[in-house]
Amino acid sequence: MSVVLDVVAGILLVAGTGFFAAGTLGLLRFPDTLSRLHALTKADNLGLGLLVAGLAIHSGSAWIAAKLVLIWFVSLSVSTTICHLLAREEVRE
Amino acid sequence: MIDPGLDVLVGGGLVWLAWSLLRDPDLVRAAMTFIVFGLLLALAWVRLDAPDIALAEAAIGAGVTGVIVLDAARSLPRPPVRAAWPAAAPAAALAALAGVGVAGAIVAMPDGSPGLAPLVASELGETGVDHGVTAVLLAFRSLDTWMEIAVLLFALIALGTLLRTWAPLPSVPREGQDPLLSWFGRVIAPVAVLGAGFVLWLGTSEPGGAFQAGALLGALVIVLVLSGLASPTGLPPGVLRGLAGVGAAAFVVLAVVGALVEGRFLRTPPGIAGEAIVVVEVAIALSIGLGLAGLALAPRRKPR
Repeated sequence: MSVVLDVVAGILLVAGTGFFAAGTLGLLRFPDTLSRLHALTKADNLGLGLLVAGLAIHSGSAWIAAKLVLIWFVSLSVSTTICHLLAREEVRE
Repeated sequence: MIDPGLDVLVGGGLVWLAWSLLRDPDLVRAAMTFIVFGLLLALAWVRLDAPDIALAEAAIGAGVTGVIVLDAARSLPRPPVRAAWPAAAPAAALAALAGVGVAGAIVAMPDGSPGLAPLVASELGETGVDHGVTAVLLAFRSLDTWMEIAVLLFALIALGTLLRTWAPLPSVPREGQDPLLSWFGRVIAPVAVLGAGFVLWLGTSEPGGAFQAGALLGALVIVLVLSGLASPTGLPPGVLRGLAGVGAAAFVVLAVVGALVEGRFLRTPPGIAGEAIVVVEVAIALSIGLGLAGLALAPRRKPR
């Protein structure tokens, strides 16, 4: 049973890292600020969610899993606000 | 656990980031690289088994100091004046010498030297806390921590003197409130306060403590002022100044109480040592939070 859990956690972690890599690729390759913001926030938030899920399963403790999910929510709200502020400044110019 | 691949990446990344930010002609971009450097440095501290320093580096070094540096870089005229190579050569030579010296000292250390950890562990019982780092900061070397808080207070006072204003926080800077930023400020405020209290309380037995909690509070104050939710003109000015000084004052009280009760300067009566440390830590966290926020939010003399 624990082997299955480890494999599932491993898959989630690798998938999360893949999303982060995709977001970074978008940051490097997209032509303008707005599309870069779009790639970064969407891909990075989902990547962080997958990482959190994988770590929560790997930790095996509900308390740690709850703390990780709270971190993910805080990170989500921070990144949303920052993306909005950056986009607003970009549109204003 | 030695993981050479990860350590080479982190170490190499640190050197590369430091080099690129020193050579960058764009100061704003260099400031952003500085923030990334701080985060990677926090990772390096984790690899060195020092989670307290990692937390402090991420919160204060990369976080609040990063904000101060970025804001200062944006206020400078562009393009900035940079030292030509002949002027920078002595500095580079000194830095290289210092680096070689430190590396040599590390290589010359005896293998498996335990350092001061056994001494700290043996004296931990008297201090009232269970975590070695907190015990060193607030019991064994509390004088050093007191001086650090005093330095922050002096920096705030010096900045106020330079700007010819005593207000530690500016009046609401934005021309209109951004709805998402206001929402974020409202949502994050209880989380940040709870988080700061949690980290502070955790410092008595696990990595955490007053400095990290103070950085969280400082960041919260910055967000609240920037989102227009905090109106510092509502409070009488003396209150904010007083709160910034409360950390240093707590140490004075501790020193006097120690001298009166135990006959020695800064010696805590062992019965209440744990509680006294927590009270002093709360005072320090408030001081650090308001001090850092005051430094970061200081009004500019010449807006860009």
